[in-house]
Order: sequence, then structure tokens, then C-alpha cells
Amino acid sequence: MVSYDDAISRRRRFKDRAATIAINIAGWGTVALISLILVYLVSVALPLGLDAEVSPSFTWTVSGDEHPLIAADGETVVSLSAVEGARPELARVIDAFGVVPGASQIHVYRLQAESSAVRPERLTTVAPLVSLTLPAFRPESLAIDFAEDELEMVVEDLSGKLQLIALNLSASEPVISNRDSLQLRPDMRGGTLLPRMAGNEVLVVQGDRYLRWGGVQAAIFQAERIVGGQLQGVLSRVSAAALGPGGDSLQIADDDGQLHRFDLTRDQLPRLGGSRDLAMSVRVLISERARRVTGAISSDGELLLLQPASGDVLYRGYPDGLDADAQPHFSDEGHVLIQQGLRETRRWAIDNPYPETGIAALWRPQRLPGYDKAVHVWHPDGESIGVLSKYSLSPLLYGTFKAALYGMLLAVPLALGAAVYIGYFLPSRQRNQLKPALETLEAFPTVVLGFVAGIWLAPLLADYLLLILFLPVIGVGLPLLLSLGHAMLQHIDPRFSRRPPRMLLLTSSYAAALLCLAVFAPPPETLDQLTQSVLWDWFGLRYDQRNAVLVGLVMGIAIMPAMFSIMEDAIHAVPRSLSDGSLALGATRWQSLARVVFPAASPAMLSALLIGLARGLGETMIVLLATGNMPIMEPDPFSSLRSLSATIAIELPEAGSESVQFRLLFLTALVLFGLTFLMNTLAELFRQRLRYAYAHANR
Amino acid sequence: MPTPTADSNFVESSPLRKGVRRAEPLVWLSAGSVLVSMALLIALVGLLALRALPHFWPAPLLLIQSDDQGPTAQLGESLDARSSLGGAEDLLLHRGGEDLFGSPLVWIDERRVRDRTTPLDAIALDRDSLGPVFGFLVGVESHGERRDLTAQSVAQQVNLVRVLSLASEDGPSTVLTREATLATSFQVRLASGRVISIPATEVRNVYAPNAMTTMEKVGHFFSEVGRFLGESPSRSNVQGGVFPAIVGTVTLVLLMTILVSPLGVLAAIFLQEYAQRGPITRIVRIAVNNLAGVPSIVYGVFGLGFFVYAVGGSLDAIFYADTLPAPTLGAPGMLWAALTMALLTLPVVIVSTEEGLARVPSVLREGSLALGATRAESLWRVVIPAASPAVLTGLILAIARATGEVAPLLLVGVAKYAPGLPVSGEYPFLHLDRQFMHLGFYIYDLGFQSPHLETAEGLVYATALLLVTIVLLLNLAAVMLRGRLREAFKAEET
Repeated sequence: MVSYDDAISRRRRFKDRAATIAINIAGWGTVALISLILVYLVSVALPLGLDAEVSPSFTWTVSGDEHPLIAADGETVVSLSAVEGARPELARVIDAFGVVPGASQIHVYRLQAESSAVRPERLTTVAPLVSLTLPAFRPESLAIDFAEDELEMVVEDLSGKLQLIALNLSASEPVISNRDSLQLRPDMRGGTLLPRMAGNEVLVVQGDRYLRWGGVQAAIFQAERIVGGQLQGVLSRVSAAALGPGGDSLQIADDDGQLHRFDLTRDQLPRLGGSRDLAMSVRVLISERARRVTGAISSDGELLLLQPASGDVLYRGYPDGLDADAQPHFSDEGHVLIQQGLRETRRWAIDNPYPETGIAALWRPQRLPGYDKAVHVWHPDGESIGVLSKYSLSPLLYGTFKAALYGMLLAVPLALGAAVYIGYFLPSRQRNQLKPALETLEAFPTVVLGFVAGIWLAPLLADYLLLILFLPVIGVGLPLLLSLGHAMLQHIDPRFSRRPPRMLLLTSSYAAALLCLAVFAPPPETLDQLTQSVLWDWFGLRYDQRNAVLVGLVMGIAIMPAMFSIMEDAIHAVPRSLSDGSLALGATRWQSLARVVFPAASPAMLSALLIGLARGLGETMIVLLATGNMPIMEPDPFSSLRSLSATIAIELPEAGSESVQFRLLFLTALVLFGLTFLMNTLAELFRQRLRYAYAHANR
Repeated sequence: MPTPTADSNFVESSPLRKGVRRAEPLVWLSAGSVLVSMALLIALVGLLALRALPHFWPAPLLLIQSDDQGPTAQLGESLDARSSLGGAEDLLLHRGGEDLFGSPLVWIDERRVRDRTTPLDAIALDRDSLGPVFGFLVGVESHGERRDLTAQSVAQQVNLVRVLSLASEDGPSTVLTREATLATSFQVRLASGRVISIPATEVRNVYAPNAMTTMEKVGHFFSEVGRFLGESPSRSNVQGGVFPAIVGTVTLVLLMTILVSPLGVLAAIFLQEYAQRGPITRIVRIAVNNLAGVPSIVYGVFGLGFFVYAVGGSLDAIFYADTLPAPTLGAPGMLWAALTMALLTLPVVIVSTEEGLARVPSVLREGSLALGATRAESLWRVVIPAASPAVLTGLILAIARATGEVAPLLLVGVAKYAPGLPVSGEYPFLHLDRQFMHLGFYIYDLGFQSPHLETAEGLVYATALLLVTIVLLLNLAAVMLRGRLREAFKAEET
């Protein structure tokens, strides 16, 4: 008997303990899950802000007739076969090609190792693909560019003539596709040569003078076009010149350590786009081709890596063995710095995966080539050389707030009005019916709202813009007119009903007003002319079919119910005795509401505003379907916009899981998370204050 | 609070003020905003219904003779009218035959219309892959032998086509006539006079809308509704039904419910009954509350990064290493979508359950404990039954939210067209790795990027109406349950 009871109680105790453990696991598991979301988002986004690291990775010593050359991929290393008179230490490397100057010849090598593994003791030896004969030239003046299987080479010969050769390398046998020459004026001799295939031209910079030879705006190289002049704003002597990242700008460093950037994209004249103090005496300037990274090397071997558009300094230091006398270059992906010297070929590893996503780059205006002023641009999918990605989150944040605020414009008055009427004026039986009905609207699928906005409302808004903008006037005006009428009737006969059938009167007058509008509305052409003259000509607004007003109209419907629910709860929670007291002292119902109930409920009102705003900021489907998704920063009510959430929805499925864009979109999500979490927490604190206040008042 | 003497508003002043006060303009205004909000809800549902239901009703076929660029005749359904610049109306006609005309839509200038009729013998042939053809049936061809049908009544024609095309689909059947088993194609004269041949195998349905009686139209309406609910979409989703999307949505929501309910309820019990009341519990509670306000797309981002790439990718590396790099679980799919949705709805379940637990009078708990029950027993036998309506309310709200939510699904598993259903008769019956179709995504996809939206508009509105109906009904159920719960406890307390 005893043992039986024991068995039962043991089983009961065991069950009790098991339940406790399960519940604890679930509870703490939930806590862990919440933290995991935050931790995971942060862990993906965090590397975006990391600085660059540069460390020596390998050195090949030149021995005898073996001269190692590293290809632009940074991995392939080959040995150049000895050619009479060639100067391998002046080699230029681009894509899979190395170009080595001789005394009166240029040798072009294809740099392909037999195996990708780099084994310094047994380098593959490659012979020139082709050797081109030129008049005697300055070997150190050789400059090259490469795009779409075409290799362009420029040298200055000893008579001061520019020699240009373009090789087409798509076929098995290289074909010379262009050959031209230009006699330089004496004062332009010995300058830096910068062939720029993005603009089909060759740039020559000598001191503060420049020369553009070729098709400045044409699609093909035009040898007869020559433009020259002085670089405005460069006061002291030029110490280094190079093309900027992507080849869309010209970068000049002067003796004062100033880095000047000149735009090459639109005008004939290179225009000063911006200057920056690098605080070093620059000897060499280099740029990456596919990312906005510029490197500056000083005479004492200091290396500075810089994001030129934002000014973010990525790295500053003295990498071991960096020599200011030899021309280095970046590998194509920017993870290796290469320098071919007379005795050594050196390679440094650069750990710089996210150069373009510093705080300044993401949020502050950037000085981008091709724009008149500092701008915010989100254009993440630049791929080809010459069109670089532009990462700025500002237009997205702007669009997010714009959409949410336009939504609030409709939602706040509606929610407030409805909350006051239902929570204060209506008897509780009607309240219990109406409140759930309005709250149902909260569950309305936003994809349907967005669809209705984009497909049905957008064309309607475009045709009847003025009429639709006039609707709020009716919405506010009619109740005021009715109240005036009621007051007048009461004035005439004081016995007139103090409780007019408000809802009935309002419903019928609203219906009548809409009917009148439908029947007597001017035809679309007249409206069109009116809109044209008022909005577009007078105010100078632009109109996109999917715009902020459209999204505001629908977003308002989406965020109104949540706000209404909280506001109504707050008004209803204020003890009736307070308001009754003021009424007994002779206040009208409205006075009692405004002076007694509102102040008491105000923390919760504020909380409702915050929650409404947070919902608007995070809303995705409506914004996606009703805004046109153009990432522009304009205050215009009828211009398109793009929100953070819509950007995630559009771009994340396409972004590779290792790309910069992927991490940026996680940062975007983190920003959204942080914003809404902050607002909701504040709202919750406000609401709790109200709850505590009335926990005492009700007693 | 200001004293009455200091505040002039409490003292009767000018007659104007008195009038304004008596008129209570702001009361009227607030009443107006209630009305506008209600009207918006009704207008939205009304708009959906108004646009969706005509999609199923057989539209009359208009034969329009016009002088636009020489005399032309067009036969089709009128879709839309817009006023052109000259003050006259332009008419948008859906003339069918995507393969015949290039675009199935044509704008007709009303001023050039000479004549418009609704010929009784016009028929609409629905085809599987190329959309409908509107015309007049002139003949049937069976193995090179042509038979003229112009003499027959349109009802006979329709019947014949129906019998013949059905035969070609299901094979010869004993009840069919000799012609039926042999039929290969139908000759249809278009409005322009051109006669085209349509293979019997392509025809899915045929009807003569202009000759239909109202009863027949009602029948057609319901059969179209049935098709909408029970068939797969065709022609890149602009035709057919939404059955796979319904299956996908329901499977997702069920899986999510299975995942979220134990965790949510246990977590709520932990917070309400087990955790010690202190700052940490308070912070956790606030965090859970706020999680309900975090944008749904953020959950999608987390789901894609953590569930799909991190967890799914690792599972692939362990269990499906032989099929890599083609991902099995490391790609968006049903399982990850359900997990993401469960995470998204977790706060809803927790908050609602907690509210229910808090409303259970502590007398019940204490009584049960006093009688010797363990904590788990009194929880299981007394507290949870008392709170069960709240738990159910939370679950229904979670289901409603998950049904209407699309944004996270864009990232973690939804597809424009999924070849296989997530549930099927083949092993393992529930395909957690498959992508799936979803009602909400279907609306987004067609609304955002469909080429001929005008012809599919009715379909999308119908889908929207279906989705809204489901979500609103679920919400209504939750509201009623909650109301009942509150009343029950009010009765108990008094």
C-alpha cells in the first residue's frame, strides 16, 4: 500500500519536474531565439564597417634570366622569357595580359600558368604573344588599358610624339585594330599618359596642364579631336596623376599632399569635383578598376587606401618592403597589391572586402563623378568597368520615412477621431460592436491593399487628382456644416433635439456629396488642364504614377486600426469619474474630453503614434506595389520613392550570399529592426506609465 | 487643473462661443471619422467583390463593325471604357486569340463604330494554353472529312463540341457517337471572316454566352468558381484556378501552427507562472511584445540568412553532400517558410496566452494546489482549461496573420509557379524542401509584373477576395472567442 502510493507520488513528482524543465526550456528558448535574431543580423552586417589590412604575402627574387610577373588576378605567376632589350621591371599588367617595353619594341604576353597553384621554384615560362615595333620611345611612359578584348597601349617616343596602338585579342592571332600618333607640344612632353577606353580617348597630364586626345563624347576614338588646357584649382606642382576608380575621373596629387578629383564623364573640360588633404607627399597614385578604392604611396613608402567618393580612410600604414619608385597595381578584385621591381617581384595581401560601406559612404552625401553636387545614390548592381556600384542607404531611409509619414497624415486624424467617438461619446453597447469591426481592418492583408493601390487607385488618382485631393475637404467640411445647421436649429427653437441622429445624417450627407461629385464632376480633360496649371506649372511638381500620396492613402488604411485600438483603449481606461466631475462643474462634453480625459490619456496617445509610425516604417507589400520603387530623395508629394523594406524584398532574392549587397541588405534589415524596436519599446514604456497611473486611480 | 475663474472657457461668454460650444463641431467630426473608417472597410471589400464576381459571369460577346482603318469587324468581351481626348469614348475589347492577333486586347474608337450587335450564335472556346477564341462554329473535321455545322442551332453546336472535345481527352467512350470518336478539330469563323481550325484536344470548355438563359449563366458562374478553386493556373498564371496556391497557403499555415503552438504556449506559461517576477521577466515581456511590431520582412531576412543558408546549408553539407552544389535544404522551401512564419507569429501566441493566463483567478490555482495537486497538475487540469479560449484566440490570430503575410515569403520559399504541390501522394507525402505557391504572392506577382493584366484582372481580384474573406473570417472567429472568454470570466468574478 505504501509502496503503491510512493510509486504514484514518484510518478507525479517526475511529471511535475519534467513539466518544469520543459517550460523552462521553452521560456529560455524563446529568449534565446529573440536574441539570436539580433545577434545574427548584427554578425552578418558587422564586417561592412571593418577597416582594411595589408600584409606581405610573397616575394619572388629575380635570378638570371627568370623574371617573375604576377597577373592581374593576383594568383597567376609566370616567368618571362628573356627578350633582348626588354625591361620587365617596367611591365604593365592588366586582365590576363602583361605588356613589357623594350628599346623600340613592345612585347605583349598572355599570362596564363599551367596550374593555378603558385609554386615559386618552378614558374611557367611564357614567350611574347606578339612584339610590336615602334620608333625609339621612353619605356617608362608606357601606359595601357583593356576593355572587351581590346588592349590599348600608349607611349611617348623620343621625338615627343604619342604613339597609340590598339590590339584586338579576341582571335587566336592578335590583330592591330587601331594605330595612331600625335605630335605633342614641347610643354606637354614627359607627362603622364592615361589611356581611357571608357571615353575612347587618351589623357596626357603634364604639370597642371592636360590634353584630351580622341572621342571625348563619341563612341569611337577620333584622332582629330584634341582638347587641352589648364586644370583649374591645382595650384602647386603635380606629383602624381592617375585615373580614378572605374576610369570615370582623373585624380591628381600635388606637392601639398592634396588629392584633386576631376570629372571626365560629361563635360569637355575636366571639372574639379573635389579636393582632399591626404597629409602625405604622394609619389604614386593607383586605383582599383571595379571598386571605389584609391591607393596613394608616399616617398617614404607609406600606403594610404581611400574611398575617394566618401573620403573614408580604409588603411594607413607602412607595408613591409613597399617601394615608392616602382609602379604598383591592384589585382582585379582588389585583394592583392603587386609591385614588379628590378630585383624583386612582391605581393601583398589586402584584406579589404568592404571598402565602399563605411559610415560616411552609406549615410553622408558622396562626391560621385558625373554629379554636380554631393549626392546620395543607391545603385548596387554596377558590374561592368566604368559603371561602379553606388551604395548609399540615405535615399532608402528617406523613402521609408516619407511613405510612413504620408500614411500617418491620413491615419492619425482618422484614428484619433474614431477613438474619441467610440471611446468617449458612444454608449458601451454600440462600442462593443463597432470597435471589433474597426479592428478587423488591421488584419486586412496588406498585399491586397497594395494591389488595389497599384492597379485600381493609381490610374484613378492620375485622372482625378484634384477631385481626390478635394475629398478630405468634404470629409471635414460636411460634419462642420451639419453641426452649424444643428446649432442654428437649436438657436431658433431651444427645444430642438439635443441628441440628433448623427450617424444617419452624416451617412446620408456623405453619400449625397459623393453622388454630387460623381454627377457634376468636370470631365477629365478640364481636370487635366486645371491640374497642369496648378500643380505642375505653378508649384513645379513632378508626377510619377505610383507616388507618395498614393502610398500614403493606402498606408493610412493599414496603420490606422492599430493606432485606433490603442487610443481607444486609453480613452476608455480613463476613469469615468474624472470626466463626470468636470461635467458636473459645468464643462461641456468636449471641454471635459480635451482638458480632463486627453491629458490623462496622453502617454498612451503618444505610444499609439509611435506604434503607427513603426508599422508604417516596416510595411513592405504596400510600398512595394504602390511606390514605383525609385530610390530618389525628393520631398515632392507626387514623386516615386523606395523604402528599406521594399529594397530588401526586391534585391535580396537576387543577391549572392557572399556579396557586399547581401550584407548591406542585412544592415538594412538591422536598421529597420532597430528603428521599430526602439519605437515599440518607447511606446510600451509610455503605455505602462498610463497603466500604473490608473491602477491607483481606480482604487 | 486650472481653476474655473482663471479659465474663461468655463464661463459663458459671447453668444458666438456659446453657439459653437452647443454645436459641438468636434463631436460631429469624430463621428465623421468613424463613418469614413467603416466606409473604407466596406468600400474595399465591395470593390474586390465588384471586380471579382463578373470574372465568373459569362460576359456577352459584342460584334463591333467599325471604320477604323477600313471596315473591320471585331468580336469579344468589353472590358473597359475610357474617354479619349476628343470627348468620345474608347472601348477596350478582349478579342481572345493571343496566337492569332498578337495582343488579345484592342482599343476601339467609338466614333468609328457603325454597328454593334450581340449575335446569338457567337461562341467562346476556352483553350488550355492559349486563352479563349471568340467566333462562330462552322464545321467539324474528323480524319480529313469535313462536316458543315452552320445549319445546326447554337445549342446543338455547343453540345457537340463539348461531347467531342471531352472524348478526345478521356478516350472514346461508349455513349458517344461515331463522329465523336473520330473528331480531330473544329472550324471556327472569326469576326474578320477568316476560318481557323482548333484541335479538339486543346478545347477545355465551350459556351455561347449570348444565347444562354439566366439559369445557364448561373450554372456557368458556379462551374467557373469551381474551376477557380479546384484547378491549376495556366498561361503563366493569367488563366485557370488557384488550387496549388490554396494548398500551399493551407500547408504553410498548418505547419506553422504545429510549430508555434507548443513553443508559444509553453513560453507564455513560463513568463506568467514560472519565471520569477523581476526586471528580467519584465524586459523579456517587453521584448516579446515588441517582436510583434518588428516588420515582417526582417523575419524574412533572418529566415533566409539563418534558416536557409546557415542551417539548411549545414544540413546539406552533412546529409546531402553527394548532390552538392545543387542545394536540397539549403534553398528556400516549405520548411524554412513555416519556421519563419512560426517565429513571426510567436509573439502573437505568447501575448494572447499570457493575457488568458493572467485572467484566470488565482483562487483556482490556489484551490487546486491546496487540494494536493502538483504545480504541473493544477496547470494542466485547472489553469490551461480555463485559459484555453485565449490560447485558441491567439492561435487563430496567428493563423490570420500568417495567411495574409507575404513579405517574408518572398525571401524564404514562395514561387511564381511550383511544379509540384507541397503535399502529394508520393513518398514522403509532405515535401518540406519544395517551393510552393501562395495566394498572397500570386496577387503580388500578377499585380506587379503580369504582361496582360487586363485579361487576368478578374482572376487577381477573385484571389484577393478569397484571401480577404479567409483572413476576415478567421479574425471574426478570434474576436467572438475573445468576447465569450471575457464575458465568462466577468460572470465568474461577480
